[in-house]
Amino acid sequence: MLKYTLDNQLFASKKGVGSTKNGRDSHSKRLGAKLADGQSCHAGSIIYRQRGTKIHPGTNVGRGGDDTLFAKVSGVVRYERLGKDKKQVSVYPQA
Amino acid sequence: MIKVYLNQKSQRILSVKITGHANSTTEMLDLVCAEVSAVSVGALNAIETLCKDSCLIQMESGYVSIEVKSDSDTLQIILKTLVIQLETIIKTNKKYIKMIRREV
Repeated sequence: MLKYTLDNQLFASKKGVGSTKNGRDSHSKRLGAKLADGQSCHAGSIIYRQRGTKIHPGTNVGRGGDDTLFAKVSGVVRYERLGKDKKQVSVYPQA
Repeated sequence: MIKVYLNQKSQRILSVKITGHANSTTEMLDLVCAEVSAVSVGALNAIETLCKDSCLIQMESGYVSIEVKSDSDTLQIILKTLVIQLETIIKTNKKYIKMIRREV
């Protein structure tokens, strides 16, 4: 009858470490502002990438199928308040 | 890193101490640790079976100590076999285990 029982992890720093069910993540979609307030832009250039309407389309700004905001005319970008707690972005043609 | 301290006197082994943790991997079972555990616990059982009460033996998590009390040829063969097995592990796992020999 053997006196000592083998513990495979006798010299292991971490006892009974199991696998984890985590460790997955999606690729980041680089959302957010592409043009800042006061920046000039051409018609069609993308101003804001978003999911849903964090920022609403204002004057001369359109909203794409994925809620991307883009300029309809060339001009200067302006971020403005919309009502009490919303924001919008507009493009004003330069004089 | 696992360290093996080997005390010898004119080719006779006086004590073998194995301490530390392999840390060779963070997931699942640590293979180097399992190898060292197997050969060291195997040696302890061989000593208990073939040369009972000839050594002072201690075994805890991350620590095995064998100190010779009453020497014999059979005991030396068991201890030298243990050392050779540990050297075999060291040969391919130098990053995780090393041996320190002392001539007393």
